[in-house]
Amino acid sequence: MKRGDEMNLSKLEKEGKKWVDQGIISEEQLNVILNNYPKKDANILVVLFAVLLTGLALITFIFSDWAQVAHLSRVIVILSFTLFLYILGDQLYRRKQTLYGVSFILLGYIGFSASLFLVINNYNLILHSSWPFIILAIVGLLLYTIYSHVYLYYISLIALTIGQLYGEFSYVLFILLIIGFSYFAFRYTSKLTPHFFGVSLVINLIALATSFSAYYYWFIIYMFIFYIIAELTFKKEVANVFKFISLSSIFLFNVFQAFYFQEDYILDGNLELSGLFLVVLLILFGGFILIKRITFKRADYIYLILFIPTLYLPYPLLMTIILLFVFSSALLIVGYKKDYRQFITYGTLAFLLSTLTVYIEYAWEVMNKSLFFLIGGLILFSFSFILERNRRKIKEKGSVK
Amino acid sequence: MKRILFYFLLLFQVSVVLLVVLQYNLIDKYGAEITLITQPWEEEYYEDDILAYQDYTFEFEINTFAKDKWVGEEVNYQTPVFVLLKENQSGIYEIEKVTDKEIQTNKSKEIVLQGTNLYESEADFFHVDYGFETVNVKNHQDLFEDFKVSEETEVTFKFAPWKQTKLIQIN
Repeated sequence: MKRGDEMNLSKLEKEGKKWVDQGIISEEQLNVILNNYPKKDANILVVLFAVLLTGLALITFIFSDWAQVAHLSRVIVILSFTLFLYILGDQLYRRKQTLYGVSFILLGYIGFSASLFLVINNYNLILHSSWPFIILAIVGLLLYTIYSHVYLYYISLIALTIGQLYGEFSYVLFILLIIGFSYFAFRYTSKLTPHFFGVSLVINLIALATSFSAYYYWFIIYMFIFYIIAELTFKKEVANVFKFISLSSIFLFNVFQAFYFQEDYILDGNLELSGLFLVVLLILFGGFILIKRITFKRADYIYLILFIPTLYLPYPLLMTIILLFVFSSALLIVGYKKDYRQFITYGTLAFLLSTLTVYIEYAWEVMNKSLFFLIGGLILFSFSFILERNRRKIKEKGSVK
Repeated sequence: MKRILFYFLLLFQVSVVLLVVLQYNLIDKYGAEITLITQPWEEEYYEDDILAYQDYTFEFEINTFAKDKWVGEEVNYQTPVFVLLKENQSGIYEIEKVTDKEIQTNKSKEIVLQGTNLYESEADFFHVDYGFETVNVKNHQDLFEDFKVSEETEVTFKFAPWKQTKLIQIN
């Protein structure tokens, strides 16, 4: 986030000098423009790395031989150190040393996480649920409400996500994500909160879907709901991030299915089709069409292709591959026709991924490896050639107008 | 307000950690004593090294069970299973039945354990993990002194109702 802004600023400076030379703007005007973009503090990265390293030191120390001895005195030493970090951080924060303050709070949080797992391990507590992660996520989220620094949001979201991947699916963590963390993502408290939230949500939903292995394909519904919520989100920045994450997840899901269906046993009675799934899906399709009718974004109908459950069709493997190609070609065609830059970029990417999927699927086993890479490269060359020709055509058309 | 929340959070974190430690000392009072028997290892080379390791993972008789003990439908690898153990004449706990539904027992010589990672280890036999098999050797050095992995050994644990265990004895 910070880096991006910095690069933009230096680019602006460069471009601005050209404009001054060309006499478009004066030197003073350039300075006024540049001053509107505050210079970012490079120190933040240094501090971040300092926190990372110290945090790692803390974790390795807590899991060292010294700490592995189950004795109350050692627990108290570790806890006092954690408290010291927290209070130091709080004091610094109150003296307006925000960055250092938050860094020490972060270290305190890492210290607490490590000591919690240390005592669970040392004092033989059997973990059958992810309660330590629930505690960590709640503490982290509350710390974020106090200090409202985005690092605290990230670290508690990471704790939550790891907890979800550990063992059984935890509904408590999921509800915490939906109720607690989503609030800050929708509020757009920082540039990257929707990104982090979206990715964590997708991981959570994958965990949810795979916890019912015979019904894993409900993931399609979850992503569809996520996408529709994204459509309904007012804040455009947040909506765009959510749309991108949900659509790319469902696309990758289809790529995954293309590989998954290759194993014959999967389709031989290891999956259970459910009627309820179709009903819910139909309702969602209806909702989607309704939204698009109101907003008049007809091109977006292409996205519907991605939510077709190929599993229910005859020849699911073939259908999935066709789906991938129809989707990416549709993006490209509409993109070129209406000159939607974004459609062209994503269409190209989707087309490449689809080609790669099919290519790996059918050629990896049978072909000589060197030939495999060679032909793959040739396919990409010809593909880029076609794209380039198309681009030129459009440019010519544009200049004629 | 935020000040109060901050200090409350500190207090909360400290108490969570200390509670785990405190509970460990309460196991002696509230825990149920259970003796299990190990499955001997064949690898001899492991023998002398035990004390040098940080952790040791026991392999008990109750970690494997025959298919006919299983009651219920087929389950996923991650699904928790519930194991009913019963004490036999010689004071060792053995598997009575395993199921995917939660079970309760109030009888004195029975206990229910929760297991995970169920998989078919060999034909008609299942393997299950309970989560208490791994023990810190350094913390129980005196108990491990005469332990031999190649012999069937009786190991006694105390099980607390809040799912915490304590290694008591290795014979």
